Amino acid sequence: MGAFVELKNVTKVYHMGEVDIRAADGIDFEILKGEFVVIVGPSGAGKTTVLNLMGGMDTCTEGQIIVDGTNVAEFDERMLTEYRREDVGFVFQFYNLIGNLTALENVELASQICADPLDAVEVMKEVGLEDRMDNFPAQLSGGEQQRVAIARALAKNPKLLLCDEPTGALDYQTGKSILKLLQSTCREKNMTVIVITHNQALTAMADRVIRIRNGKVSETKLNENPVSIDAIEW
Amino acid sequence: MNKTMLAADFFMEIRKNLPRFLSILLIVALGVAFFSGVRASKPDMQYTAEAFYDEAHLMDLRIVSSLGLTSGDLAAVQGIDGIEDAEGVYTADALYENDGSQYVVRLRSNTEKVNQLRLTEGRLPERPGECVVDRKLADKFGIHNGDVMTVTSGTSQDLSQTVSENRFIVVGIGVSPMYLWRNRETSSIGNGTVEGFLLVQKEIFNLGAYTEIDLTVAHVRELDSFGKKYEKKVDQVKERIEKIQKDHARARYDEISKQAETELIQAEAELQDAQKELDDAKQRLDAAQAELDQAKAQINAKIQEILTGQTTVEEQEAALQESSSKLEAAKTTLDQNRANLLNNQAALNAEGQQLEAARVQLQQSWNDWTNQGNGLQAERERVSGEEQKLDQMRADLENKRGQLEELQASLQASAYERGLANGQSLYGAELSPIESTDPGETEDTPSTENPAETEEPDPTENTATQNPATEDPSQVPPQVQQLQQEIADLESDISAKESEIAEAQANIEQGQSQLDATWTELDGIGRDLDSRISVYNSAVSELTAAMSQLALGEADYAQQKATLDAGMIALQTAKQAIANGQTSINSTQAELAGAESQLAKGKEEYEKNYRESKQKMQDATRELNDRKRQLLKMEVPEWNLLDRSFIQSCESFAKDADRVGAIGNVFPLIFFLVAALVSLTSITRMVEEKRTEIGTMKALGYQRYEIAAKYICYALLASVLGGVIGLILGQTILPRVIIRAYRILYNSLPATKAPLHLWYSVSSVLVAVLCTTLAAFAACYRTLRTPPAQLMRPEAPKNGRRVFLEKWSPVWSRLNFSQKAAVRNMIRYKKRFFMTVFGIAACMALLLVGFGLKNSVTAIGKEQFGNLQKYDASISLATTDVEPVEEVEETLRQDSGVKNFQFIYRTSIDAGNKKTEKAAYLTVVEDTKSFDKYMRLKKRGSDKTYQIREDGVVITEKLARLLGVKAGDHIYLTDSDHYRVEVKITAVTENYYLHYIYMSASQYEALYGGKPEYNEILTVNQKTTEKFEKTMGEKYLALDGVNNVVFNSNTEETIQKMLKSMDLIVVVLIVSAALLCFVVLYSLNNINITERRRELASIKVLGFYDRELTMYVFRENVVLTVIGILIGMALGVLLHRFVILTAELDLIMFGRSIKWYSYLFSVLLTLAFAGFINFIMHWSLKKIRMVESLKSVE
Ligand SMILES: Nc1ncnc2c1ncn2[C@@H]1O[C@H](COP(=O)(O)OP(=O)(O)OP(=O)(O)O)[C@@H](O)[C@H]1O
Ligand SMILES: [Mg+2]
Repeated sequence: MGAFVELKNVTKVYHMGEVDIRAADGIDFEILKGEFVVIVGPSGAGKTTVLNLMGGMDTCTEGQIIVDGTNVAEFDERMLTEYRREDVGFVFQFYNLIGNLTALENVELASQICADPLDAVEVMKEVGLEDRMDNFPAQLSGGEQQRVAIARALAKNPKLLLCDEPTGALDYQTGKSILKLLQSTCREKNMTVIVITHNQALTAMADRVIRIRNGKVSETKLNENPVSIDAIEW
Repeated sequence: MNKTMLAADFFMEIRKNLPRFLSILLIVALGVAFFSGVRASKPDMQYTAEAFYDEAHLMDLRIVSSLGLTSGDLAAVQGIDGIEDAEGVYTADALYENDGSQYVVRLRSNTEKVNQLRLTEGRLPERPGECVVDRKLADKFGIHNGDVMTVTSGTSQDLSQTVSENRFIVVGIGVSPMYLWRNRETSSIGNGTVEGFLLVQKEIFNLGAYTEIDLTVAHVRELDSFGKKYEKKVDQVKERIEKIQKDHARARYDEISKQAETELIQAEAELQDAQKELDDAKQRLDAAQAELDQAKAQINAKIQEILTGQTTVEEQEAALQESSSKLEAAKTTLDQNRANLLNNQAALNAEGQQLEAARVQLQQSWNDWTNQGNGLQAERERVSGEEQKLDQMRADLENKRGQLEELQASLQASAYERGLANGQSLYGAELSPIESTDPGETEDTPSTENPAETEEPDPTENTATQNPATEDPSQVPPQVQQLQQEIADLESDISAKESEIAEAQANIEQGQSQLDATWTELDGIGRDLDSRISVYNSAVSELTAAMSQLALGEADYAQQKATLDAGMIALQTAKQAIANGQTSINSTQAELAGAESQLAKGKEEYEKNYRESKQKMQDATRELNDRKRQLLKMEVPEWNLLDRSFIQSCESFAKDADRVGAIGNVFPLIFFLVAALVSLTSITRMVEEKRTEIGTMKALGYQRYEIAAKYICYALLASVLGGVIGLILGQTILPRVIIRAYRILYNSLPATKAPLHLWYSVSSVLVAVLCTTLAAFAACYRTLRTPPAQLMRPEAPKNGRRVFLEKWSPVWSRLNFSQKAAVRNMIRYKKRFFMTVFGIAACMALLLVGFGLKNSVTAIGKEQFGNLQKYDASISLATTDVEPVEEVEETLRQDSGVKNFQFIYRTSIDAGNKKTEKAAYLTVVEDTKSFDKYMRLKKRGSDKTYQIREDGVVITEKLARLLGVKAGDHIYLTDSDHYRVEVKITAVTENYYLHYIYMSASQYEALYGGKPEYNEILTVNQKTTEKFEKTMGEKYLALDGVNNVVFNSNTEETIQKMLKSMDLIVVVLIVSAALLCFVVLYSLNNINITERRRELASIKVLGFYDRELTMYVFRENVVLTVIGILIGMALGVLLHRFVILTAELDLIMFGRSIKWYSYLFSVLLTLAFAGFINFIMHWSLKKIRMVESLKSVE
């Protein structure tokens, strides 16, 4: 079984006036399908940059990003949009829900545009918000909002679920439940999930841990026996 | 951060977000430009006029009195305190002819100080025959310096009674502040409209009193003449004049009333004279009739006489004719006779000739016969010779035989010879007497005589003649033997000789008998001839006799002829005499007939005169009585003190300025409001965006004012810069544009003065600055009040809320999320909602006002000349005389190009009520039933038509509005003679151009006591092509009775041209609408996008295509635009209404309705502007970078 996601020498250079900032400086790694991947690294290492590149939100300066056999790095704007639409789900630290749509509508907003969506209400049930579907984001707690965000990402039935510090703004318990949701989704739906976190503890629950430092992959570690999130304490 | 850092940050902020800064700046500039510019237009109009007034020393007050003003009055006025200058002015109206049409010009006497002219060319008049002509006249008629203008009197009075000159050399062209306006005052002559003025020397006026005294008030020139202070000062002087006016008016009154009394007495005498004259005329007429009758009788007697004479002459003529014919017959006979005679004579002559020929021939024959006779004679002589010889021989023989016998033989021979000679001489004597009797006969005669003579000779004589030869022989006997021998020989010879002689004798005998026969024959012929001659002679004598008789007859004839001719001549003379008599009778008769017809005419005229005179006399009597009553009633006149507001052009200009001011108060306000709101929103938004920064700075310990200063300065800079740009551009451009539009009406206006107005500048900039800065301050204040910790955290997303629509699930469930989001967004971002709606509504409203104004303006031409004024041409008559007018009427009747025509009476009149008074045209209509063929009187906006009724007048809508009256109210009408009547309004009719009052002829008669003198003909033509109208115009202008032909198509064109200026305003409105729309929508969209950047980025991340993303926002905008358009429509209609009501000129009524296509255009344009903004938005949405937008919460 070949790599589901493969990054080869991915480089992203920001030109800031005189200086070039190499946010990603020749990143190479592989991810297999259905893996739960955790990317860790110090602040400013280039984690978000890499994730954005994988999610088609940005284009890399150099290198290849092969997702399910196609090189995303060569996509033009429109193909990237289509890629985001059909193949990728995003979860951000700050949820980024549409404020004047209800929780369910936020989910439906994502599901209505892709070809093979999951049922929004089902997804809402899965994330445990069947009672709060008609609430507006502002009426939900941060964790609930993040669940809505996950539901929104999941409803699209993406090949790849990308999460950038999904628990960053949440308390321990809520964070944990969110991570649990992500892990179970990965396991149950055999979805490839990539999570960025600063929490070293979380590396235990990952199938694969990628460490990034200074825009380079410093270490890729396969976890033979990933533990359940419930077993992890920090 | 220290101060410099703050400053750096400030400029960084501007640079980083230049579009936002510029949009705030621009909208402030626009708002200020419009606000201050349009508002400055009113004072600029006033300044422009004021400068002109001051320069020209335009009178502040004018004194007029119905009785005129004397030099005493003038002196008194000049003595009043507070008066700078006062001058008396003469005016007189006259007609000026150009291109076949007559126009009224007002001659004004030159003034030295007050009401100076601004000369655009040339100099002031220095001699009586010089004038300065109104620029307007010069432009209209192409008059140049050096041209000669001839004016004529417009009344029956000779012009010389008023002014001593009627030919003026144009020495200058000028404009006067009294005549700013294109339209001039009304006049009592011509078509009633003063076309322009001519400034002439004072000396040429022959008027007894000044028409007016114009004066300037001291120390008011530096005041604003549209202001209160000015008014107050002028009023003070006014009061002072009022004080003295009483005495002066009284004096004038006395003078005039005395004069009037004498005039009255004179008029009475005149009236009596007129009556007497009328009676005299009657008498004269009767005398003439009697004379005529007498003359008629005389002529009839004469005719009788002539008739008798004629019969006599005719009888005579018949007799003469008869004798003449008889004479003629006699003449014929005579002529015939003569011809016969002549014939006879000719025959006779021929006979005569024949006779002559016969006689000649006879003569010939006689000659021949004589010759023959002579030949015979010769023969006989020869024979006689022979016989003599024989005898000789015998004698010899005898001698010989006997000597004895000898003697005997010889005796015998001598006797014969003697006998022959006698016969011959007798014949010659007998012939001559016949020859002398007649020449013709003479020749015949000899032949007749000859034979008679030739009878004489006898053959015996011949024998005798021969004898003498034979007498001698005598013989002796010795010789007897010989003698015997000889006798024997002789005997033989003798016998031979004897036989020979016998033969010859026989021959002669034969010849003789032949001769005799010839003679007998000839004699027969001769006798015959003689008898013929005698017959001939008798015929000749007969002819001669006949001839003489003919001559006699002819002489007789000639005599008779002469008599006849004499008779004829006498007859001719008689006839001539009769003819002469006839002619003289005829001529007398003709004369009589002439006299009779003249008499008849005289009678008719007399009757007409009588009627007229009677009418006139009645009128005069009535007038006299009126005047008497008036004189009794006549109060001491008041001086009318008129200030500048009574100068039509000044007043209407002031009003127009007020109108512009009124528009300036409302119109730009909308703009300004929008601008203020937009800048307010932008600034607020900016501050809100910077909450983290503010929080941080606050947390870092910066003072509030230090933090707020940045935003307040930002707002201040943007608004002050924008404001200054706006006020400079606005106050220089807009007043010029507006005044340029008005200049079309006020064409005498000098160059526009558009200074910057401190108040408008400061106030508008101040308001703009305050709006934005206060907004910034308020926003900062609000933000700064929140604790820094909270500020550093992202602002809690705005609460989503259910909207009312969600309760209506059938609709709601049908909406997709972006639609739902759109609905909720609109309601959530209320500020933006109202701003956008307001911006679009304002844009829509401005466009609608723009197009609507255009509609309203076009309506003047289209409605007035398309739907209301149905007539195509109006022919104004030069005279009311019957003949030329009839000629015009006849020409019209026969003109196949003219479908219908009708006579009307049209005159300038002042219509008013207690409140106000307006100049209008009074139109008196003879045939009110068919009048709608020419002019449709109807209610605006409905099909209801009006008839001109007997009990009132129909007035036009604008006039009704200006006077504030409606149907059923009463107004008064004052004509140019100041005669005032009161009328009831029966209907108010739709009308867009000029003011009209329609009245029926019968009512006119009832009001004015006389039939209207129709002075205009309205025609409906077959065609309205330029060519047709040109020919028609020329045709009618050529007629004596026609003064002018005006085609509605021309008028329409002129008006359209005049109102072309409105296009400018329309363009200004459209451009400003577009600008407003852009700035507002752009700013709002910008705010919208920045405000929702995160949301939009999230949606982008979800994989929305650009188009879908645009639609997500666009939907809201569409709805907002639609709502904005709808509100704008309502707003536009109201604004349009307001604008046309305030902006329209007095003489014009703008169309009230906006056409459907104007709505359409406005909607389409608004959509286009909005669409363009949304297109721009599409690009800015595309440019949203997800990564940066989502990275953190700002
Ligand atoms: N848009 C940008 N322009 C310039 N430099 C950028 C941009 N985005 C990221 N960088 C730079 O690239 C580097 C990597 O940034 P990135 O956001 O990937 O870090 P990170 O590993 O996610 O850090 P953190 O854990 O703090 O989120 C940083 O040094 C950052 O300054
Ligand atoms: Mg990061």
